[in-house]
Amino acid sequence: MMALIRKEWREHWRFILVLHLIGSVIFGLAWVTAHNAISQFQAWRMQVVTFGTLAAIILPNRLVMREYGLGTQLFLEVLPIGRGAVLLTKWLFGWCALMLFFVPAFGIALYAVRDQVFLRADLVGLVALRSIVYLLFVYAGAFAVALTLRFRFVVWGLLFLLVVTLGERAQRPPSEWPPFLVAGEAMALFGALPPWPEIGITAALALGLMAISLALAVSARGALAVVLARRMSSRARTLMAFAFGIVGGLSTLIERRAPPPPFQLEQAVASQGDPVVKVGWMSEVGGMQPARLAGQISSDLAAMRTWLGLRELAPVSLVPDAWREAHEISFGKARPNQLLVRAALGAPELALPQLREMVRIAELLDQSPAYTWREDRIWLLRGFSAWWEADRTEGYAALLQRRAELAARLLRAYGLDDEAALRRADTTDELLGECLGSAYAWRAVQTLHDRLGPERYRTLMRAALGQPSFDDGRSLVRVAATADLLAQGGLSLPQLAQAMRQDLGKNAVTAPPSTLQVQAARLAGTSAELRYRISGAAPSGLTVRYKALRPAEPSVDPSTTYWAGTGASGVLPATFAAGTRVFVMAEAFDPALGCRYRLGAVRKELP
Amino acid sequence: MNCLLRLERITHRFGKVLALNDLDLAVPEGEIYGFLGRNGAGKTTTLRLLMGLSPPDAGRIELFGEQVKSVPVRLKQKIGFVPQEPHFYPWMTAPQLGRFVGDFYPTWDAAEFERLLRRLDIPTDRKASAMSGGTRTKLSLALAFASRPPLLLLDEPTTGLDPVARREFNDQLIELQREQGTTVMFSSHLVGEVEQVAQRVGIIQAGSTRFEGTVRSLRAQVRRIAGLVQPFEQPGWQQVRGDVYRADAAAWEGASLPPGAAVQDLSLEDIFLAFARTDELRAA
Repeated sequence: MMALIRKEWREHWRFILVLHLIGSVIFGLAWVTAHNAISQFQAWRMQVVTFGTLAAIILPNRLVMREYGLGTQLFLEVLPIGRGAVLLTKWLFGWCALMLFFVPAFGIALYAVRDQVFLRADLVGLVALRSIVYLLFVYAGAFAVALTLRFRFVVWGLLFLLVVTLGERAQRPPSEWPPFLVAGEAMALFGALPPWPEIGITAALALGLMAISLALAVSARGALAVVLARRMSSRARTLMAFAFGIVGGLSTLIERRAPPPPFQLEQAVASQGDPVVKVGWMSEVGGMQPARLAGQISSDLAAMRTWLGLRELAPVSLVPDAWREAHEISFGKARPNQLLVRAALGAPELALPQLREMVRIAELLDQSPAYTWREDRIWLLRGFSAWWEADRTEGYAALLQRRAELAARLLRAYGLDDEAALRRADTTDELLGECLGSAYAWRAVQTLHDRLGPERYRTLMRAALGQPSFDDGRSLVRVAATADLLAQGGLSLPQLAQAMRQDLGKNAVTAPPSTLQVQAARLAGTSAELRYRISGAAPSGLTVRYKALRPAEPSVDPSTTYWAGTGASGVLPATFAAGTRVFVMAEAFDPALGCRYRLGAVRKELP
Repeated sequence: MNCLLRLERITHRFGKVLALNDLDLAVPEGEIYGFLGRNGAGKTTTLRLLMGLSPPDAGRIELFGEQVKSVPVRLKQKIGFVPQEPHFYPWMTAPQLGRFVGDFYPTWDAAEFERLLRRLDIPTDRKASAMSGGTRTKLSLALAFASRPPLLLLDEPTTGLDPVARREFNDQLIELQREQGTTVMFSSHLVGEVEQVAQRVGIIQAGSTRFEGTVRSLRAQVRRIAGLVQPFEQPGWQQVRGDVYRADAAAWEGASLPPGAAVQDLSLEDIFLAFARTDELRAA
């Protein structure tokens, strides 16, 4: 076996070296391309999808064709070694050559984004798994195709035709097929829910393709491979070209997939200004006439656009959703270039400041560079939206201050200091929920405003949320981490955290807040139950909810959780198998805060 | 007679073509066995079966006293093989090929390989792609002998060599066989070559063994009866073709031939031609 490995290395090392050099160049280009993406770690995905696909196709083709094309497999066949061992060695050699590039590249990518993304071991492992499964699928497929030898171009051609045809005509486009979904847009986003079924299917396909490779190499004691290795006659080539023409022609007969129709509100009141704001509710929204609300939001957005120096803002439609709670507001995008903000517009408890905040966040996320989504920066965006609202709505700042004070106390009770809370926005948001999380982000931004003064604050916000300037060459390669941006703006992250502590401690409450504690209790066998307890006085309107998490499930949508109880202590109404990870959260209502707030969330893995 | 390899009633088809038809042969230990047959007679197919490269459809293969269906790696390690056309890695030199091949044989003798390279005058600094056909064949022989195999199979190794190179190759083969005591099975369609090298021959025609024995016994059994007016019919006598007959050596001595007829000895080539042409007639 070692002799074969040495032989492969001596035969292909130059080729592998050139391939790795090309890969390094592509990696560099991917890094530049992804510098302002939602996460610079997207460069890793680009690398896997572009160079990974290319290398995983070229490498097995070279390994197989050099052996069978030159007929040297006949030399190997008479040596005392099995055909299966020869193929396995070649297969593994190629895979290792591929990994020789990708393993260090993954390490470099992680090192490079370490200050932008909080690298949780399980999520890093998940990205690695998705990358490996995708590359394994392409590599195994290319190896099997290469072993069809003289028919390999025919097979590749048919596969290409299939993907192009189904890409235009199938109900489910190729980007949603398991192998491509595994390496899809969300692959390098740590907050995305892993597509486990697709990962499983892709891995199974890869194993199937490996089996096909083995079958092609050893069937009829290698005679099939010898037959396939013969050159194609000109007659066969003509026949193949003819067959291609027919298959290609037939594929055009399949009807093209119709694009989804553009979104349109049935009934709506529209603003006059730019951007156009439509309200899809004909009576009062949060105590305001829809026409007035539309005009107010439109002029508010126009002012924000000027203040931040943004380009054109997309039209917004406020879509009614009677099934939601008043505090449940979400946003999305519809064709063509239209933002949708969905809320219970008819609910009397609907808070207009919260609605306007969400509209502003939707516009900022749509218009600002994608890197404003990054975990280290998202608080700046949310905090800015709340600050803008508080700056223009009387009494709102005081409300936010009360919420922020509770948020800070809760964070401390859960052992998270202010600097870490800002860096790890995903953790903070999960712990505090929407109401307190948003207020905490507001407090940070308000502190920036107070400490830096209006001009420096505006400059900082333009740099953080506005269009990027290209006065510094480094910005082409790498977007500054938020901590660096703050330091350049005149208030470093540690200074900001310290200032926040002072601002939030003005009205210090000595009593610790009520917090959520969860403990597992072993039942018979391997099952267990979870007991929760609220420390301190039980707040009013307490509700405890839970959800059994799927592997590596990131952020939890509260609407997918189950009711567990309303008492200050209790047992979750379910038993769990050992190893299950359960999310438990507690919410309460305080009229002084004006919202349902979260007093804690815990992820617990059962022993 | 201790045989290192034995084939019994071997049948092998390629689709509808019957390549081997109840083939029998046995190669005694320590001898050079000439496997003689025309092109397409089934020589290469037989050797491929022995190397485990194809399975027989029917029949029995015995290697080193062990009945096998497919040749396992441990038995393959005891077999040296010189193919008709060696498919070496073109970028490897002879020493590199030696190191590569040597790793597969526990009995590999690196010093012997170096000695063989010198003795067979094989350049050590030239890549396989730059070697002549003769040099590559000699290299193949060196690789086969350096593993010191008890059994060596050669599949028409001298095809494409000029007469001088062929003679040289065969001389080397005989010498090496004597030195190492290797059992050799040597396939060829060149009668003179087999006569020069082999102590025992097997003649294969259309996938069947037509004769198997020593060269001397073959020549003693198959002779021409010159001056025959009509076919010679007697129990124990077999007409090979025309006036060429086959019978026990003793039968030839005691035969009462028709008046005017005389027995003539035949060269191995004539005997082979007689067998070959009979098959042609049968086929026609």
